[in-house]
Order: sequence, then C-alpha cells, then structure tokens
Amino acid sequence: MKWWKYLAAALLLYVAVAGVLLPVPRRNILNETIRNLYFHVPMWFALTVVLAVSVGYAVAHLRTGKLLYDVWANEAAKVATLFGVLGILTGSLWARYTWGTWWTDDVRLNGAARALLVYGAYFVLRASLPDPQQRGRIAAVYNIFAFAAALSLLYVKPRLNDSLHPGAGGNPAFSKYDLDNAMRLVFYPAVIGWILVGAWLTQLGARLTLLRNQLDEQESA
Amino acid sequence: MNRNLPKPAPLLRRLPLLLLPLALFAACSVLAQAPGAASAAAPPAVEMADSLRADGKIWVVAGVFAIVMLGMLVYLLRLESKVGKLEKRMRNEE
Repeated sequence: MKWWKYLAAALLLYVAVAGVLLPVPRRNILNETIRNLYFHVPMWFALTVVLAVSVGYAVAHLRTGKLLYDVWANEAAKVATLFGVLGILTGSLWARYTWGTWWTDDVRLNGAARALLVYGAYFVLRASLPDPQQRGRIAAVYNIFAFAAALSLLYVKPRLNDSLHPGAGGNPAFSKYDLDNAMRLVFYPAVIGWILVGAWLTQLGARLTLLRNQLDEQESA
Repeated sequence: MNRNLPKPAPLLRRLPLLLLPLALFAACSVLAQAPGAASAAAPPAVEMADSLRADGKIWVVAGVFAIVMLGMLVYLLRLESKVGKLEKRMRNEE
C-alpha cells in the first residue's frame, strides 16, 4: 500500500477525534453543529477535485483514444457522485436542525441536486453505448459539458442569488462561520484526507474494472 | 496461485497506525479539559454531557459523521464483493 493511503487514514482518524473534541466558536442556533463543517464541507471539496480528475481523464481519452482513460474518468465520476450524495444527505440533516427543514427551494441546494442529476445522465449515457471506442468518446465529450455545468451550478449560480447557505449570495463560504484558526487545524486536514480517499476509491474502482475487462477478454478468446 | 496474493503487512509496520487514534484521543482529551476550555457555567454535581446532548446539538454532528462513514463503508463493501466475484472467476479459470 502506498504511503498516501496511510496518510489518508491517519488524517481522517485525526479529524474524527479532533473534530469532536477540540474547541470551536460558540454560535447561536449552530451550537455544536458547527463541527459539521469538518464532515459536510470536505465532501464538496473532494467532489470538485475528483470531478476535475474525471474531466482530465476524459480529455486524455479524447486525445489518445486509450480506453484506460475512459475507465478512470468513469470511476472518478462514480466516486464524485458518492461524495455528492453524502454531501446532500449530511447537508439535509444539518439543515433540519438549524434552518428547521430538510430541504428548501434554495439555489445552492437545488444546484447541488441538479449537478448530481447531470452526472446521473452521464452514467446512463455511458452505459447505453455497447461499442467501447464510441462509448469512451461520447462519454468524454459529455463529461466536459457536465463538468462545466457542475461548476456553474455549484459555485457560480449560488453567488448570483440569495441563499440561506453560506458561500452564496455573494458571500465567501466561511465568513459567517468565522472559520477561526482552531477550526482550520481540523478543517484543512479533513479536506486533504477526503481528497486522498477520493483518489483511493477511484484507483480501486479503476483497478477492479481493468481486471474484469482482462478476464472478459481471456474468457472470450 | 498464492504467489499473486499480496503479503500482509507485518504487525510492526502497522503498529503506528493502530496506536495513532489512541494517542490522538489522549491528546485531545487533555486539550479539552484544559482550564478555560469549556467551563463558562458552574459545573453541576456530576458532570456529564447531558446538556451538550440536549441543547448543543452534538448528536446532529454524530448523525452527519455516521452518514459519511456509512456511505464510505457501503462503497467499500460493494468494491469488496466485486473483488470477491472476480477472484471466484479467476479460480474457476485455473
């Protein structure tokens, strides 16, 4: 096992313990849920990085035609979707006990849900094409558009509208939280840890798919 | 066939990783109990985390953490079963 996987495990273990025990600013309504910053927000950071990796492999596939890159792009998109689902679920639970509702008609929330649907269509599209070369090319082109859509849905549109969510309505994400230095001590390791876990899961998925493809070839030969 | 399987890491190499949570927990416990860490009100007779759980919403954090861990575990378990199926196919071929 590579060193960065140990680093990922160590960082997340640190976050699990320090995130619950280290002191945080006292805020009305938020109370201790301010600690969710350590668990909810890194999902979206990791999602963004993994999506960038996915679109990077999509471009690499278009340039070289290598099916290996298409496999990696697909696996990265899967992991990003996992992070997106977890981000939405954790955000919804957090909203229930701070805003008083599981979901509101909010640009930030709906944008995140739409971004996930865009990637849902990516998987449907990719799975519906039987020819590997054609599948790779069309999926890669769609991936590029999906990435652009996701970035604008997640990071541009919420800032142009009013929203309950921090990081929208023109506000930088952490101004309301007063992300102080004590919180940075946990928050940044959490972000790095989840990005590494994203890389880890992507790599495992790709290795598995490549092995399965090899076996398929051997069996059909 | 066994030659293809990765050797398990020796216990000594894994030991630091196993000890890490313990060390962290100890360090954070000490930090949390440092004077002035969380003692604005006078402490009740037997201090437990009761009020923390009632009004502090720490259980929402526990829920969020559980969702994240559950999601990652489900993903890992699915990978695990896929690897298992592949291994079965490998064995059938040999």
